[in-house]
Amino acid sequence: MTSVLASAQGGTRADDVVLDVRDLRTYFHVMDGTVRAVDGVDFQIRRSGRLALVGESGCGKSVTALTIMRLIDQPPGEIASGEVWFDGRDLLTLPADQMRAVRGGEIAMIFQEPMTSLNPVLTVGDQIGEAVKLHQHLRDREAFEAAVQALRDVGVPAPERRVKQYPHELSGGMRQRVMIAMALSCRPKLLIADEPTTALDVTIQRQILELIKEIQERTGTALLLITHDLGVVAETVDEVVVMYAGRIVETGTVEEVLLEPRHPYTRGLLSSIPSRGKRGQRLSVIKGVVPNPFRMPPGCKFEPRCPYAWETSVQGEPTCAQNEPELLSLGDGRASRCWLHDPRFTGRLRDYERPTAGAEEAR
Amino acid sequence: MIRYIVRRLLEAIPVVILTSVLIYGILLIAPGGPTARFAQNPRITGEQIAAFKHRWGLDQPIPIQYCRWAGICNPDGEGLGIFISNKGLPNILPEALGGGDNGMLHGDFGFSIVDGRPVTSVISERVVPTLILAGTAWLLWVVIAFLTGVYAAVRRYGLFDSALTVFNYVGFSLPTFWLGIMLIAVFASQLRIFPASGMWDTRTVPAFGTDRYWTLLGEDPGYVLTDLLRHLVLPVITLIVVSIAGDSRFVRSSMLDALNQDYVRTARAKGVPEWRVVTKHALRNALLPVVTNLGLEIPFLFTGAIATETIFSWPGMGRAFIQATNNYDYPVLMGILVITAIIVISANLLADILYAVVDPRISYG
Repeated sequence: MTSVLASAQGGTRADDVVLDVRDLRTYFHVMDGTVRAVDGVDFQIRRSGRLALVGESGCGKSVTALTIMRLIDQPPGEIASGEVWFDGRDLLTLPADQMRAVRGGEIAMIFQEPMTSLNPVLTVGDQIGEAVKLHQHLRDREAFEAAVQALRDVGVPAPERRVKQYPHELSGGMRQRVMIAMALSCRPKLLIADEPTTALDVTIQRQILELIKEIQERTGTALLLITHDLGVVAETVDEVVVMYAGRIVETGTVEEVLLEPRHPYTRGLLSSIPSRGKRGQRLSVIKGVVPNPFRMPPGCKFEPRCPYAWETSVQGEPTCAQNEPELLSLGDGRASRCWLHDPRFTGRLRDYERPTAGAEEAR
Repeated sequence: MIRYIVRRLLEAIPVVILTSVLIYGILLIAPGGPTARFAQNPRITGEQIAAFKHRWGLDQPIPIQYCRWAGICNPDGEGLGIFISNKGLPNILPEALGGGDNGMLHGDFGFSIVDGRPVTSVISERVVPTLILAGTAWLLWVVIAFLTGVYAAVRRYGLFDSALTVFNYVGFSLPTFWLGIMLIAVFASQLRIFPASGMWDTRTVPAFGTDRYWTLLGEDPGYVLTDLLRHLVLPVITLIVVSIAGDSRFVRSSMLDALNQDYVRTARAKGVPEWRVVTKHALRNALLPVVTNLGLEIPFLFTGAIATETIFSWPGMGRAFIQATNNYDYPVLMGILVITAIIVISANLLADILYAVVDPRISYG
């Protein structure tokens, strides 16, 4: 944890960073106990940078985003520790009214379900205009104009007509464009997109991704993309943070993580992507399921599913099942939370990185 | 929109007709009948009963009885002539166009068997007291159920929410008649804060609806209205406790549902202040099912009024209904049932139209 933070800060100047999340922990206290949905997450996004949080459902990536926005219901949620530095302020200690000015004004968010994320009884223009009125203190007429312009910016045809329509009169792709228009209407410094294309048709997915990228490049807003889709990651971002069971398991640039995954979990994720070359074969899967949040394994959280986990033979040596590894820095901003990258296990690492052996075992 | 309303109005017509047939049919099947009150009277002979039946048209075939009551048939006609009015035109037409002057279609609900007065005047003098009682109750009921429900949802699991939950469970299980009697026992008999029955103080105020009543209302409105309000308190409470208990629960869950929707999260993510998230984004959506429900519950005011008006001797339609039933006064009974049915159907219609107004997803097609 500390190692990746140190290396990241060494690599980039502090004022070059728009969002700096440090040791973030979000717990949910429910009837059966406490779920540690996010358990010690650190990452940074540079100004105009693009970072993806990747992981399976329930790994804590959405909760991380909602915690940054302070949209966690408390109770049952609790932001147990951490700092979220945004533009020189820790969002977690900001008074409520200042936090409201940040939400929508400086950090905007797009959600997964465009069908349910828009209010069914308000017109599209009302909903976009509301954000503009709140943050830029415009009058009704000006807000209306701004809404039309925002729709035009995201490529909605006939914006003057669309602005007066209700969400149910628009298609799914159109609604997601409306969400993006709403998010970008106040020129935020950071855009959080939580699975923005998951609920859309494949062709529309592509259009929406291109739109997000195009706008990101044009306006220079930073992008925090949350997704489980590695295809989306490859096309959209520069840096990747892989999460598993509320923790970061691997970080690096998009090329590094996708082409040379270091953590067994990332490796498993990548090998489970269907591709033309694998036609006719059984899809490779990561065996087992995400651990029960009430009965987390004591050691590495991925150990029960990990094909590379080993029992120790040497007294005093850490074991995958009993000891949880740190997020170990691998230099150049890369890090992996796996005992394989501990200097004591270089022999095992050599076996792991031999391409054929690893692939066979994984299968 | 206008077309939608007109269409719904036209659709309501067959419903009203069907309801009137039903009312007629059910009263026909029910034991008793207009002559039942003579059965125990030894001084009334069979001939006299037959004469009574003939005078009231009860010796006619049932469809003709219904048609006369409805105003399709002319009671003076013979054979096929029953469909022709005395002016020689179809009897069903409005009177001004040469139709008949009998039956509900022409505003004639017949005469009370008991005192011979027209049913319309019996009902009309009872409608206003019922509307005063039911209207006040409905207004309070909606406002209280709404405010408490929304507040409980926003402060979920708070002290108020828990207290309301207890009230709701208790209130919902109270029988109306029992609650009314208990209120009289405590607040009228023991504490003597509110009057136990009636609509006005008989010692100081003339009967409601008379000229002297209106004169006094003009001279001393403060006194007359205070007197009316004092008489309203207990029956209104009796009428609405059960309804509030049910509906504030309903509003609460509808509001909770809305507050958990994705678009509420979107609104918060936009930086909308919390009170506006509640009043603008959640409330309008929470209103949709509530509006329908409030319309559908209007009938309850009238059925509830039957018990409440009887307990509190409120001179309204509910009490008139009970009196008519006890006296075998069939014309009044049927008149009240038809008027109530029309009010209920109109209330449903209103709820439908309101629903279309508040929800843009409803098409008027």
